[in-house]
Amino acid sequence: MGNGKLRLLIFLSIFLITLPNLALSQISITVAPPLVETSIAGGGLRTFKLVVSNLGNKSVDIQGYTCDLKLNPDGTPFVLEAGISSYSCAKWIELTDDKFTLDPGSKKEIGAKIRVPRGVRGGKYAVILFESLSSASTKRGNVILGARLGTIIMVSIPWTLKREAKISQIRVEKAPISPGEGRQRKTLIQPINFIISFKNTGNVHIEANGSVVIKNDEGRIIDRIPLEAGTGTLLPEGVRDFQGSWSNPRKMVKGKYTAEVRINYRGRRQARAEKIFSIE
Amino acid sequence: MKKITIYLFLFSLILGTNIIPTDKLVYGDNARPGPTLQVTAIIEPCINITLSTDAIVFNCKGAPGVYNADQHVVVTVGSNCGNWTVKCSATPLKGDGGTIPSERMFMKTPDTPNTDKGAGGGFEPMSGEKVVLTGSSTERKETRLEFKLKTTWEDKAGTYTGQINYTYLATP
Repeated sequence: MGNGKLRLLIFLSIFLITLPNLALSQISITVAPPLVETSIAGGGLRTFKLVVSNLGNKSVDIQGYTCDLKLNPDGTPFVLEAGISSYSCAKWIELTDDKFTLDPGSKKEIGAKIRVPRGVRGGKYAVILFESLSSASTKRGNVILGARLGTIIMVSIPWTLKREAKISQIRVEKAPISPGEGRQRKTLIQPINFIISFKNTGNVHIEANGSVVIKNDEGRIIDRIPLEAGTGTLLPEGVRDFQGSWSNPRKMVKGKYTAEVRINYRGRRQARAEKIFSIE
Repeated sequence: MKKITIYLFLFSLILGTNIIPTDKLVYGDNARPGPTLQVTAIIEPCINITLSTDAIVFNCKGAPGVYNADQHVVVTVGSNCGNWTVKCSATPLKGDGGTIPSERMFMKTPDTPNTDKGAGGGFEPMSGEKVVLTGSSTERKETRLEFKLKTTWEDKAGTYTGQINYTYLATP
């Protein structure tokens, strides 16, 4: 092998080895922990540490800031500007470092301090967001991709908590049947879907779970359906939709029924409500 | 030959005398277990999000229409705790020529229905926040996202810049 060919081979090998690193400008950020649930008395203070790591192959500028937290009726969280919600503690949180650069493979410990003012009651909530911005932000004409990772903060102020909730709506619907299923089910009864809206009327978050008890027109219990709602967490003033489906062909005969919804949430008593429906 | 046999005999004798006392020492009546070291491993909960690239570019050369981004984006999420959601939101594209609203940027995920909302089957306008990935603990999930931009005659020639954010939150 000539000298020229050898050089070319070495150059190609180096190029092929370094190619993936050159081509990928990926962003990879890790935050720990994702959730901090704590109890702090009015006038009290608590500090904790958050760790942000850069697992990507480029340096990233990170900005940390706080936002308000809300939950959709399906339980998915979303963030709002700090201080909008009446159950916000976003403005009580101070970060030791809110702007920093992380080199590839490095990590940084950030201290967070929550100072609870005197006289406040119930549960308070916020999100600490760490947002990455890569060097691509300096190039014009790019659509920059950013990653934001949040640590959810849930603060309970002891001796001021009021756990109250109510069933605000019960919807009973026939489950939609796909065309293929419809041909098979010509003689069968369509499943019934229950969607129960449960509202937190207290001042602290609750974790709820429940079921629907089906009674026939004589008042006899004929079936029980568990309700699904993931973790079942509701923030104050929040509504969560619980869902269940009744699809027991042996028990589903034409007639009038009562759906009795029972939801437990560690309140003084179980939440209960009824709805009459019929199968035709 | 005789010498070898004698050597072998002596060797096995020495080996035997070495093994027997050791065995007695370990399993003898008076033997006590040595000091033990308790090992505790604490795995802290953590979350990770990886984007395959840090920027995309729409090269809109020619008449107004629908243009593909120069590359797709793979979002990978890892978590060792609870349920989680990744949402995507876009800012309007701003430039010297004005603003292109985020509704004219379109995104396709493997899960979006194949309906045409102005940029081809499966592409949905990026107005508001869109859930792109959900999952539960101890799993690593990824999704492939494709982007398109719709331009009109009203968009002045120039360079526009915007941002797409992926927000990861645990589901409390």
